Amino acid sequence: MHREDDGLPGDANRLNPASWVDDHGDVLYRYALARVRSTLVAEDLVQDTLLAALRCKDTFRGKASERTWLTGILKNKIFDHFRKAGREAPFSDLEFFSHELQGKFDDEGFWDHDLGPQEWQPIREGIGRREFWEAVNSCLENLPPRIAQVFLLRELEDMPGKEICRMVEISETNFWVILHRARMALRECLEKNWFGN
Amino acid sequence: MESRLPFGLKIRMYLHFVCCPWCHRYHRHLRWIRSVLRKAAETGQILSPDRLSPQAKVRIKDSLANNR
Repeated sequence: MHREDDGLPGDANRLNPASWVDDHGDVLYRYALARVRSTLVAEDLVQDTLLAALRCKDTFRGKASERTWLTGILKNKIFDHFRKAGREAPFSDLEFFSHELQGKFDDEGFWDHDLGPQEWQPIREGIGRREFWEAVNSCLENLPPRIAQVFLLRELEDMPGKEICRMVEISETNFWVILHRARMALRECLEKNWFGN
Repeated sequence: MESRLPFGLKIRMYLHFVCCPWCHRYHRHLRWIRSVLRKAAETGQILSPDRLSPQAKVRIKDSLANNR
């Protein structure tokens, strides 16, 4: 993982802060927005990242590209944001989707055949269409923010569960419950709103 | 999906999939959603708007200029 001070001095003159916004701004913004799901927060994170990079540009090692270095700093800023959000807002969404889960399984824990996952046909069709991504986006927006945070840290960052628990200050048991419900909710939302079953 | 399953458990899971199309589909759907989300996050397809607003660019440039 890149840290702001990760590097050896000497390659700072390979950096060009004057063109950072034009060269990397949109890429950094997309990276942040995919994870924090808020345009304002994503913009602020890009700004914080570039300011932090400016402050520590003399430590740029030069082994990675300028963009990779900036993305590493942004990643840490995003994690800091999640940590801060975790401290400020305790989890209150643990009941999310619990009602919808009722009746989907029989007494022995097997899927109800009518309510269980249906065949998605054809699964690949539509990925290139704008409407498909609107459906995905809208399903993600239906997840409560903290649930979405945990889900995206796991699915996009591939972050280990224990690390996520520490970051957002939840127990491991709650982590698995949240992840399970987020996956169920997202899958079901796509099935209803895109695959049309 | 979280870690590599022990061989025995993996076999049991796939045997279960043979007789339970619902679990099989569920597993397939989750893996597909994960791969689609990762691809989309890389390309920005999932995002709207997919670039910094002109106002944000000006604000960030000003802030960098003031801190240089």
